[in-house]
Amino acid sequence: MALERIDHYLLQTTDLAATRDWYVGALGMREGPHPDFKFPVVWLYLGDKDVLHVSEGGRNVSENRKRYLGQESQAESGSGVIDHIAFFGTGLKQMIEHLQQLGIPFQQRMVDDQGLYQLFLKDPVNDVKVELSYANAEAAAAGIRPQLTASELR
Amino acid sequence: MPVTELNHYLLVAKNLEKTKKFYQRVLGLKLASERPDFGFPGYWLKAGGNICVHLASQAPNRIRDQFLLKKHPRGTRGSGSVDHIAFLAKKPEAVRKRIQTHKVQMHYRSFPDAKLFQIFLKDPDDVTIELNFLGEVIDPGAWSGKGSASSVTLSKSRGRRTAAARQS
Repeated sequence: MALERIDHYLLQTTDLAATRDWYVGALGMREGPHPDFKFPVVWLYLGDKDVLHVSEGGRNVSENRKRYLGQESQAESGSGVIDHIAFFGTGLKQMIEHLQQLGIPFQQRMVDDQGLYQLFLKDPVNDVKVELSYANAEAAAAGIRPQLTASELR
Repeated sequence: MPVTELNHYLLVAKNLEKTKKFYQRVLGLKLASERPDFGFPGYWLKAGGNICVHLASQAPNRIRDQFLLKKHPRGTRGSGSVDHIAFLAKKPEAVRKRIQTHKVQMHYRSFPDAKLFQIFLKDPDDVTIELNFLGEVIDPGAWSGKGSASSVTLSKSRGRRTAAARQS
């Protein structure tokens, strides 16, 4: 169940294009491929790694986004626009059992065409949403099914 | 590429000890012994050998506020308690030029003993970003301008609306 690295963070913004342009222009990130989530996202890369996911924020976010990801805050500025921080790990089954043993609630999602299996949970002390992502193959091998997959959204 | 990888985030925790325990016990992160004495309480935590979570406490602390360049009120919750996101970077002069070209306000801080140089800036949504240049010792004279020795503002324009943002 070891977490291996910090993977990405997700920013929600009322101006997707301006945020993308800023990270590309000021920090030299590169816009790159992303799965089809059925809601607007931009993925920004450093080298070959997507490190920043940008999604719609504020008051008027789409129902698909809310269904898949929820929305932690409608803040439009400051660190409240960070929806979650993600880690990548191995040992999905062990992590699920571990969380269940500790009685920590979590949600399961799957990004079909990206091969990612995601657990979302809250740091209960600070109410910060944390994503744990694993290779989809781990879930398939263990017969683990998500509550919702990105392709189920319309 | 000057900004090379995502490195860590810093959480200003409502309860420092409980938060440390959450990351250790629930997520299995390991406590790092490398954290220097910053003069304010906190922890560093590792995943896969890499320090990727920094914790500080919401308890009022003047030194912490100086380090983070802002006051942290008690009672912050949710992602509002994430103070900043940090990246590793290379070529500070090139990064400085790039940031200045986009008329973004920044601060810098040099730790010559630790051979670390940092640039702090705000993204268009006012999120603090920290860039870490490992192994870099900066000539303070070349970077001096307004402000204190450890922190200087190179551009007076606000980061909120950048040239790039206006073009879109």
